[in-house]
Amino acid sequence: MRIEQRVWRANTGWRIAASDGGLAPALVLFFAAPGTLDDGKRFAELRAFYPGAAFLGCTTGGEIADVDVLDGTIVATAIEFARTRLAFAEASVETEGGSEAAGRRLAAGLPRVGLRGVFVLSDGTHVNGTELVAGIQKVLGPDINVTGGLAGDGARFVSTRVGLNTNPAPGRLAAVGFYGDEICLGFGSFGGWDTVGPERIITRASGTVLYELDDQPALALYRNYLGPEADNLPASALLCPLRIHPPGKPEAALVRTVIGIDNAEGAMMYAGSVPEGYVAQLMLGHFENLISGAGRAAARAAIPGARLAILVSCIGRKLLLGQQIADEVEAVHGVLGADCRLTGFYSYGEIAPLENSPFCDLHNQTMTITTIAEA
Amino acid sequence: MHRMLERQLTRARADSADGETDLETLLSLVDAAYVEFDRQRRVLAHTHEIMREEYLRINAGLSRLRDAITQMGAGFAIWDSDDHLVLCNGLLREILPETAELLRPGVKFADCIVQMGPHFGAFDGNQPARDWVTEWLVRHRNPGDPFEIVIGGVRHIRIWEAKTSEGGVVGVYVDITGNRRAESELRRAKEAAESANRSKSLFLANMSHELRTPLNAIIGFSEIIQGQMMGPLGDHRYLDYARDIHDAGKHLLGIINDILDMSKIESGKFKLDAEWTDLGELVEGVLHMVRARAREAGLTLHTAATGLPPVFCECRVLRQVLLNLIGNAIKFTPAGGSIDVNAKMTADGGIVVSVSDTGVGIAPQNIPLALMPFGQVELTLSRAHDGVGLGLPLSQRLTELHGGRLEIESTVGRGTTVSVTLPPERVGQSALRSA
Repeated sequence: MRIEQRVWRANTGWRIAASDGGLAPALVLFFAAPGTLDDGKRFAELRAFYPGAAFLGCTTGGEIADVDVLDGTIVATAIEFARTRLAFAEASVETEGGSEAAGRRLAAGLPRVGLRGVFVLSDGTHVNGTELVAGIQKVLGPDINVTGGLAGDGARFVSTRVGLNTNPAPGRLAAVGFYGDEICLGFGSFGGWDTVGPERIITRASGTVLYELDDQPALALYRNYLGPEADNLPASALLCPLRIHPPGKPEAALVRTVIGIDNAEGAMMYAGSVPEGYVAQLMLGHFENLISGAGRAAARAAIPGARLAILVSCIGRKLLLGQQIADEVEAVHGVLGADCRLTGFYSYGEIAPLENSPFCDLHNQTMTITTIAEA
Repeated sequence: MHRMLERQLTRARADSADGETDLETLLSLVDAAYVEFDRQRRVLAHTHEIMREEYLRINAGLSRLRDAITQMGAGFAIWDSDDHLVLCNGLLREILPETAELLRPGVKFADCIVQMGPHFGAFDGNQPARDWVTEWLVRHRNPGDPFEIVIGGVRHIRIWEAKTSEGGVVGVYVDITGNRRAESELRRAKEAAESANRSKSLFLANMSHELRTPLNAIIGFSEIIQGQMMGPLGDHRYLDYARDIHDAGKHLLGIINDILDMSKIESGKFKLDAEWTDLGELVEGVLHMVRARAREAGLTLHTAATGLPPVFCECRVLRQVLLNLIGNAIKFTPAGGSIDVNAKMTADGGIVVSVSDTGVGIAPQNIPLALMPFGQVELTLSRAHDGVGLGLPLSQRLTELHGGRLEIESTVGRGTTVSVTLPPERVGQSALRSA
């Protein structure tokens, strides 16, 4: 398994950041700041660098190139496998309600025989991530680990793009499947946010829209928690993730992140489902805990001989940590070591298996890592 | 150099086309960092404020809950998932004084009830202390319906337990010794009352029987005297006296028979001897018997009871019921009034016979009293009238023996309607005769 990583900057154009030299990659993963792909030229240039490769990429809320967290760039990582085979699938999401069906269509495009793992990229603003993952797992079954993330749009939440062998476009899903006995995939996901205040009950919600907690409008509660940051809603709601769990089952907790607000209804919109009757608790970030959380995700994802780690981290973490966000990537680097190249992006939702469960789910506000090695 | 500044320098070099540090890029990165620090400081300050607010809110909630638990009128305890006591209130220690010393946070549930063991009575019956403790443990670990324990055969404690979300148990313990004592006293009082009532019925039955024998002699011999079978009486006043003796004897016999019937019904010994009967004929027969009395009282008597199917009843009993009802109507209706006797089918196929009068009526609150045996004695209005008040209650019981019901509708000063309804299963398929 050999790797080459290129970074495009407005001032400098494409530059090689790392290279194992003269490789013929099967897969090029690319993560691009919103706007950088609009004229189609960068994608065309990328294709010209690696003729014959498959291209899988999306727009971001920030790009990761090894220990650097970048903005306004494109990070492309070309991977040449010795024996591992790949298959690709894509689908579109027309409507919110169709997320599960879209997930099933996407998964149906991947042959089952020899399938060892799947990495998925999805539109980040028009998808119910929970249903998407459920749809994929309905087809693939619980034995196949699914990781990935929802594309980003800076902190704007307007339009996200995903592309497979084409310049990325809105409303798309794409996935790569890894095949063969030689491929080794690891994964780890960890948040590091701290719950604050009392547990509240979700008393009114529908799908991914939360109207009331303990019979009080959800938006009013967020405004109180955000204080001076309330003027920057919905982006600032990322500073207050919501931890939810079924009543009496705190071990099945998930974290949800806000992707929009409805001022008229006083409602909050999330990247995943917020079921009525669930217990909810707001969270706040503590810098040290978020950074050490990234390190814990890396420790879980670590596998022997890992050459590449794809980091899908939540835009909310970056919004809170600002330029100190690089600390979390350095924490990951410190755990996985210098031989493991890092790439990835800041996302609107992370996909990874649940801890102690065969099922995958949508996570929010986490650092989610997929490590790749070839025996 | 701080790692942030190091990164900013790296970025400033990477962003420049010539590989030199781009001062403008560096300054903008450093400036952005300072702006971020200010913002983060605001966020942290607000976070601190929110956490303080939430702490106060949670604390206020906790203190309310603590007050509720302390003040509630029942023993209360929460046990954690390892069955250690988290908290309990003072009342629990009062309810279970045997283990009060042990009931401190951290104590194991099992240790508390082992302490209770020697004092224990049982769940039901007498169980050895060890079984008793085991059973309580089992119930505690799998909480279901509320149960009761009896301590030392005297104190009754009702226990309601449920699982908490962390896998522990929450329990409410109520001392119901007082309730149990009141219940048993009530039960004893009820049994005593029932026994007294049975004695009364038995006494009445015996006494009525004893009275009937001499009464029959009085009625029989006064009849012989009236008939002057052994020769003329002489003075015509002897004949009047003989008639008075005879009428008084008959009246007394009627009352004694009513008392006997009532006693039989109350002791469950009254057996119906039912047969298919023409209701129209029965009503006609009764009217024949009372028409003279009605006329003497200055009352008009109307009837509509033809074209009805046969009913399965004891003829004598139903006749007695109708005689009672019409007799009452005559008794309580002033001269110039009227009495209507109607029989018709009900919607569900039964038959209803009603007796309506234009008499004094009964106040609504007195209707239940009028249906109690000897209830008429309580009604001041009826003091003016003869009778012991057995007619209505006896009629009601006799109707009920037929599976029917007796109902009274009345307006004071306007009149009374008493309806006897027989159920469909007592009514034959077709009319015996057509109108």
